[in-house]
Amino acid sequence: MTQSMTGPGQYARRPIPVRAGVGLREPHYDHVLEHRPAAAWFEVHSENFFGAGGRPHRVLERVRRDYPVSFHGVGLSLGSTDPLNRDHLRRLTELTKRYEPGLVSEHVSWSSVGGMFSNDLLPLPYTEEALSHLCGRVLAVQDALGRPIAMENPSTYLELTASAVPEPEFLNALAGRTGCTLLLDVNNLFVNAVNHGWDTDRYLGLLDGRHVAEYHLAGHTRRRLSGGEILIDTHNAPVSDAVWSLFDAAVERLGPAPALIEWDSDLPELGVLQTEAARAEAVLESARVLAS
Amino acid sequence: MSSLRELQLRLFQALRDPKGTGACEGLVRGKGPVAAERLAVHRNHFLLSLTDALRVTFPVVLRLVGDDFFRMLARRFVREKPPTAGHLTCFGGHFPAFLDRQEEVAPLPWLPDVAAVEWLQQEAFHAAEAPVLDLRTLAAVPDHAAESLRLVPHPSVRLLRSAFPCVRIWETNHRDSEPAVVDLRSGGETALVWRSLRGVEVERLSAGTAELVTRLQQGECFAAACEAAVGADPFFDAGAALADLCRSGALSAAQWTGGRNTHTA
Repeated sequence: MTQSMTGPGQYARRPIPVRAGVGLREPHYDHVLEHRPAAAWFEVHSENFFGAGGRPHRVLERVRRDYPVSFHGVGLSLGSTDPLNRDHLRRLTELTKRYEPGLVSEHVSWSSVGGMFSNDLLPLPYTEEALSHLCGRVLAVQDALGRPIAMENPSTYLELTASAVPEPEFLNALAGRTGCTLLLDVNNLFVNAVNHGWDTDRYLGLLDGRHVAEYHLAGHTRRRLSGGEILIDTHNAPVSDAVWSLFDAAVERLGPAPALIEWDSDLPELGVLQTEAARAEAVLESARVLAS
Repeated sequence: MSSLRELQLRLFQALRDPKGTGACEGLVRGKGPVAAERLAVHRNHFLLSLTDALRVTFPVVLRLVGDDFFRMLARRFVREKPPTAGHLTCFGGHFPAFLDRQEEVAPLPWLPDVAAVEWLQQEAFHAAEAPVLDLRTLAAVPDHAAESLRLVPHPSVRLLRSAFPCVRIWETNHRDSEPAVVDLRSGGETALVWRSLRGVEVERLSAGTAELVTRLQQGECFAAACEAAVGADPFFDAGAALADLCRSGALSAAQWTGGRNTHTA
């Protein structure tokens, strides 16, 4: 008996619609396969499918057959000054060719140096050197994949003294020079605004909405430190009211785009995520209504 | 060296070093909470997310040594051997060998092999898909094929030869709410780990079957593999072993030559 195997070109084209989607994580696999719940699209972490076979792929095959799917990478470490990780890129390329996701994204960040990986997203200074370096990496990846990628703004706890320009300027330049799109994580923006005293109005005013291809919405945690409070981007809670307001403002200024409810740990039932998605959907819908 | 590279080397150094923030002097701006505490957010995530991954991959080791001891070992491992890839598929592969080197683990000499049984399950979980060879197909292999017959194990198949009853220890601590006491004097065991249609499985193999599977994995033809198996165990029953392996789903294909052709089933 042959276990199911698929190859390239086996899936119907499913672009990610301008609707609210849900992050698909392992605790929900069985439920999604069994019940085929209503969801406009799913997003998965690319690296969870870097094994050769077994359950992860069997799940992804079924999900990709029935829903639009977006691949969100967390480990390519594009900002790292180590050589571009060819093995990782090869796996991502194979995965992308096999499943033909509607969107592929990564982070404006680095997670490795000297061949060691931190399993965390570390901040880049917003300098010409870092921009030039990151642009080179993004171009190489887009070339290998044969498609543009979306790059996500990071949540940061450290501001680097070397940074010379505001983050939205850096992101605009990244998109402008490489043709990549932007994934605006509204929760990350909110977290950074609290952690570094940023003006979110100013940020949204500076960011070029034409580059925005996706939004992320997630929860955060407050942490008390000796000099005050910071927010940590934990992805383990409902989207806060303040982030919902910021999302409203973002969509109004930058336009509607697919919006993802990103919940990674302490996962509730899928229904909770679907309720969050419905709220995001309403924001997108009213923006579409206003625009028409 | 570019300033970006230097920044990254220094930041990463500060991340791994439990006391190190000095490495970041001048690199980091502070507002409110001091820079050291903010760096600690990254350091904590580095340690917690990776030690959590180890807890998930090695639940029986965790149960055997308890939370505190596991945390200490896991943190030491993560600092000593951070991941070398941006995905965690291979992370933890070095944990059994690491355990073997820890002084504190010396009183538990069977622990590294139990960890290895858990690691091999991780490998089997992610292994490539392949067809499963069933008994009916095997029975249909022509008689003249006997000499050249090769049997290909499923790509998920892994073997571990241990001087300890590591499968028994793993099994009772995985399955039973009240784990049984395992007599270490009951001797060594060979674990067969593989992925069947039911999922990842673990079984004890007799000496003869262990030798058979080892030889098959090395690409030896079935006849020679059986000879070696008999060498390891004079009572080895090839038919019974084959039937067991087929039923388990541990074999993937049969290959033989006939005339000028190579056949695969």
